[in-house]
Amino acid sequence: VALTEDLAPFFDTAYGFAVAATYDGASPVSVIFDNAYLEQLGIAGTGPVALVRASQVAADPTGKTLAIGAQTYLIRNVRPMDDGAVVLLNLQEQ
Amino acid sequence: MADHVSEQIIAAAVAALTGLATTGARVYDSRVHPLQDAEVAAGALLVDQGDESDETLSIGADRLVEREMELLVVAKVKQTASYRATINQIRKEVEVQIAQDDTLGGKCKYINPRRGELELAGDGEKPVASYTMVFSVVYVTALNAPDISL
Repeated sequence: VALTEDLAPFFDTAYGFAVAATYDGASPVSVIFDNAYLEQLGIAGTGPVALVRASQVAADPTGKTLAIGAQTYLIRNVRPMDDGAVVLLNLQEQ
Repeated sequence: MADHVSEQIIAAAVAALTGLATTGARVYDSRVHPLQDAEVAAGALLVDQGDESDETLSIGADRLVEREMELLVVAKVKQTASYRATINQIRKEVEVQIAQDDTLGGKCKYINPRRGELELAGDGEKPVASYTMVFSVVYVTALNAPDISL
């Protein structure tokens, strides 16, 4: 069953959990950003990811950019969440 | 009594590999904790020992033992592009340096590259690459004097 809830409150940058971002150099989007600790091959680091409504990005946004604050990321992978209304973007610093 | 020859070999390898063009002073002996960004910078090396197999060469209480120890030299890189090229640059510098003195100042008979393994990961904020170089280090000691390389 497709999710019919209004997702906007979750992605509200003023009262929700989201922050403002710029997708593909020009499109304003709101994303829920996370950058938790991640160790890879014995090197400490972080794993930046962003939740975004699927309707706000291309069906395959890999290779496009997402700017959050002063940092621009390259979208490296897209993981549909549950019914796909929201996708999780795996990000790489540029 | 001096350190076991294997420890002397590791120390000599760390000294020989410190100051290479790409990895500089970022050479870490028997590192067990994750490297931080500043410790990797343009590239880093981890040095440690692996398996060792021994063969008896003579008889008697002071019989000779030929030992073949694995010297592990692991190149680490964290950067957005050209990570494999940097790994191979580090490999070149390491192999050239080892070949310049393949007895490590007389600590062993010789060192040869044996095998290597490249690992890549791309889930983090930057890709990371790791290349484990396994060198075969042959040295000989008396059974009752493992601190003296013969």
